[in-house]
Amino acid sequence: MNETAADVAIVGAGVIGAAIAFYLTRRGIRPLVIEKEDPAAGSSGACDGLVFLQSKKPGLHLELAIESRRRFEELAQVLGPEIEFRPSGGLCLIENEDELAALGRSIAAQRAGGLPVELIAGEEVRRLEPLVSERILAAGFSPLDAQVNPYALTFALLRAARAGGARLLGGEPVVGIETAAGRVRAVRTPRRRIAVPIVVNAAGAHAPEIGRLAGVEVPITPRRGQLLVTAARPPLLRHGLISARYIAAKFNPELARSGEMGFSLEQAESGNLLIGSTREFAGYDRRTSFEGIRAVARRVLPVFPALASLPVIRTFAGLRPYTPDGLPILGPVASMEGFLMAAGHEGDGIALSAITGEMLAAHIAGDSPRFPLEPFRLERFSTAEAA
Amino acid sequence: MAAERFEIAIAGGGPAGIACAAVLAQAGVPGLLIDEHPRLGGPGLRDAAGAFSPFAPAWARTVRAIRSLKKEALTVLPRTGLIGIEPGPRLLLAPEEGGLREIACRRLVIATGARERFLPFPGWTLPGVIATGAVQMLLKQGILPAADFVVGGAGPFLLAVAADIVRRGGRVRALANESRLADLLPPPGLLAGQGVKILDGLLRTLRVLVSGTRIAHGTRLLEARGAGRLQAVVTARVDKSGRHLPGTERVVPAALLAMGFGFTANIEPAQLAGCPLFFEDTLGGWLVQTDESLRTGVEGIYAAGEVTGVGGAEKSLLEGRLAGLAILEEMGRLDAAGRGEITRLQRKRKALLSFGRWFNRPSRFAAACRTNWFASLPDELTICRCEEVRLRDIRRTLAAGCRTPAGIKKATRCGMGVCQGNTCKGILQEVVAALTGGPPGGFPPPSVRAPLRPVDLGLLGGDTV
Amino acid sequence: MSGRRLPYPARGAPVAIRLNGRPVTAFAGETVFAVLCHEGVFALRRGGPGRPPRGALCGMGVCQECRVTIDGTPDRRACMTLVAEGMEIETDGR
Ligand SMILES: Cc1cc2nc3c(=O)[nH]c(=O)nc-3n(C[C@H](O)[C@H](O)[C@H](O)COP(=O)(O)OP(=O)(O)OC[C@H]3O[C@@H](n4cnc5c(N)ncnc54)[C@H](O)[C@@H]3O)c2cc1C
Ligand SMILES: Cc1cc2nc3c(=O)[nH]c(=O)nc-3n(C[C@H](O)[C@H](O)[C@H](O)COP(=O)(O)OP(=O)(O)OC[C@H]3O[C@@H](n4cnc5c(N)ncnc54)[C@H](O)[C@@H]3O)c2cc1C
Ligand code: FES
Repeated sequence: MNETAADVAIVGAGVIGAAIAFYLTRRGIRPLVIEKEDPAAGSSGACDGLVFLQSKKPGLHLELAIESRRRFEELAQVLGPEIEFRPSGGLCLIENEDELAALGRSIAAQRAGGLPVELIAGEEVRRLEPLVSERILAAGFSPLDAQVNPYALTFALLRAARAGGARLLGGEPVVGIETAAGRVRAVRTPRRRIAVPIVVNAAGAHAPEIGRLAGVEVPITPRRGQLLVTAARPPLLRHGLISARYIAAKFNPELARSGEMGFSLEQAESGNLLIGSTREFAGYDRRTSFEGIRAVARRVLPVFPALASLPVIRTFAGLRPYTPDGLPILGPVASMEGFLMAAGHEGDGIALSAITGEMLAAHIAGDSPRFPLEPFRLERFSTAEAA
Repeated sequence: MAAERFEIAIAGGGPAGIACAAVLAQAGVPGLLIDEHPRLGGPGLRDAAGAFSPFAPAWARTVRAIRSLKKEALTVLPRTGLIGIEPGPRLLLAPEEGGLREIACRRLVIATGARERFLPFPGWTLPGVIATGAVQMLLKQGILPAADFVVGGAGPFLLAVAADIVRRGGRVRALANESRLADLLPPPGLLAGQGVKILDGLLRTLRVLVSGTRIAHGTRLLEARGAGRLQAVVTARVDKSGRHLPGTERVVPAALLAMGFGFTANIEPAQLAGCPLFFEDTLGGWLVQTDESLRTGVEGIYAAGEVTGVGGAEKSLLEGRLAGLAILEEMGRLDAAGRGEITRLQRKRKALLSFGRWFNRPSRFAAACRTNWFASLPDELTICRCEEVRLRDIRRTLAAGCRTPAGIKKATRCGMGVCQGNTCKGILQEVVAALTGGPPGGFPPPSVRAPLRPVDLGLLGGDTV
Repeated sequence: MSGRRLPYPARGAPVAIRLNGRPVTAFAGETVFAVLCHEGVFALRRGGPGRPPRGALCGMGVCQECRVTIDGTPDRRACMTLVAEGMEIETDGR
């Protein structure tokens, strides 16, 4: 068994682990990133690339997302065009009066929270996106909504982190965490023991496994999303698009189960359209199902009938790390010194990657984070239970 | 969604699928035979018409089997792609016209055959560089696609194709086979059972030689050249470790390059169904694991033909029949004579597997040769033709810390295009093995998901018919 | 034209089709790929940086390199489609 040491170990090279490594190196800290497969092998390599703000709940969730979005312009400059960041603006499509009323309320609250977003009429929607059918009554439009290539972002963050001194240990799962006297001492892989005082759990939907290794209960459940990819085409769509129902389904599992889940749609820079996605609790099963992929197709067609002749060339599924209150779990864990959480971003991990990286890095460096960690800590769940 | 029910579904209408369908239809078991091509027979037979060479009795038998298929029990669906399998088994079918169909069946026979294996070299994306099998199919349809050919790649199939071209009046300017002659000669043990095939091989060699073609072994396709389409092929000799010998280059003008490096099985439907696989380079790479009666590791699912080991039409015919008989036995519909035949077929199958091993070995280079092949290729060479991924991208991604073909696929999009990696996923595995010093087969084949073939969004979201 | 039709016992009846707007005689039972080869049309689509022409590779439905527009529908595999009277074939590799 090899013996090594590190100042900080990050478990998981998804977008979250990569962002933390990136922001740590900017503060002169050189972490070791441990990944059981390859970078972006998890959800960060099986998702859309919407950096969406309209889909965030007014309040803490939205504020966090706006803080994250602010950092993307800079990331695009530092990491370069390969991350395919596009400040395209986004539309949230409304199909009926109920959605109109609900979205109207949410938009008012989001505006109060500082998000530039407005309600636009159906005609205006069709002017912005000519393929949208008459079914759409109106839409929320925010110029801050943006798109990025999530895998490329993950790889670029890691590359920049490695240039700044971070190390990547790929192909080795973390299988043990040694603790003594209530604090972390070391992590183990099948091949080595790494003495380390700080361990960041950035294992996405697998965060509960890593938590268990340190005796920490983590309330994260995998929530599967199945996605369709079409053949590449010249530009057909200009914005990131989601249906109002998709947002509703995200916060309401009942709705998600009832099939009223809406869709998300974007055209990647490669020209492929990504059509998402189901929200299912199906354990760690990453297969797609006839039912799932056909449901996604069925939902998008009435709104985009012109896409009917577009070939779907593949499908895939990713596991969103779902938490009971829809917010990620970030920061130190009271019961285990040196064990930090950075997981549970559900369907927002790409959008929230930058701020998550920044907050964790600031905390580890001993600075006060630009955004308070307190409301995102693990203990919020035990307090809720106690109360 | 209500699915149509069938007792048995057979995926693939090549020799294996047909032989299986024939047995079951004869016994009156209601079955379904699916093939995405308009005509049954598989790529080896498909367009052939009229007389068959006495050296290829399997083809004549296949044709007889097609003609005699008992249509009362059997539903044949040509032009229908199998695009998904779910536990059940349930199948998702995409007919060339009309809506998708969902089929529920009690038993499924996967007989989806093999495809040609390609290795990349500079110019392999030029129009006019086409598969040896494609040229052969054109000849079988009565079309000579050009006057001047080069045939190149590796393995014994090259000679067969060159002979066909010559016989149909084309000129083969060069036959460049990376395999060495010694590797192409069958071992004495094989000669016994395969006399007809061997004699056939000798006659073909004679025919090609008499036509004036230079047959060069240990010779590599170095480059395909041309402006907008193929005009010439550069070949060069290679040493025993696969390094090309400078000074031995030859530039051969040609309108078409018929190119192939052996075969690889179409295991994707079996992967979708969750069937356990195994890797044996000399049987064609990743293959479907079965028992002696061709049962896969998944209840109710059988595999027959090239998907269990690339071994030729004779083996596929035998396995199709064997799978059919095994199913009848399971259904309690087989008499003692039938059971006796099962035993005989199982024994004969072993000999045909040995033939397969000989057939595939020359196209599977030793590790050193493979490493030297890929090491010599230029950075700008296209590996994934659909997504335009260059060798440079793969080398960079490896350097950036990715270790597996799956990781490289995500990072570079290699294999993510319209063909779903059918052409390049094997290449990617070999590139990674070569560049990292790992063994071929050291990585599991990339996961597959429905749809196995592109399908219009409107059909996917539409009603099943 | 670069290809030749050989004596072939199973050749079907002649069918009139159009290839890139040009009238062409093909025979029932032939794949579109076969007819394209016979007519010497090997470049079928454009791909990649600089959009160089690309042509069919496998001839058996797996590589998707033979995609052409048939009767107005793009992305049909030439090697998996049989010609039919009146068929219009457009290639993008010219
Ligand atoms: C269909 C779908 C669509 C989505 N669309 C969007 C979107 O448009 N916008 C958006 O912002 N978000 C989206 N998301 C959500 C986003 O993908 C996730 O929130 C995000 O990727 C989570 O990142 P992560 O780094 O926490 O997890 P992951 O990317 O899963 O990374 C965790 C890593 O940890 C590794 N790991 C696990 N166990 C171990 C171990 N024992 N040892 C070492 N390593 C381990 C895994 O291999 C993995 O690489 C979507 C998700 C899905 C499924
Ligand atoms: C290009 C080529 C040329 C060959 N030429 C010769 C030759 O000249 N002489 C010789 O002896 N042997 C030849 N062979 C080998 C011979 O074809 C095989 O040994 C034998 O035909 C294999 O039979 P099979 O039934 O196992 O598979 P195949 O004959 O390959 O049949 C498999 C069938 O499955 C269908 N299929 C595959 N996937 C799907 C899907 N997802 N949905 C629907 N249908 C599907 C295919 O269309 C095909 O018809 C050739 C093989 C190839 C690939
Ligand atoms: S030539 Fe490969 S799919 Fe038609």
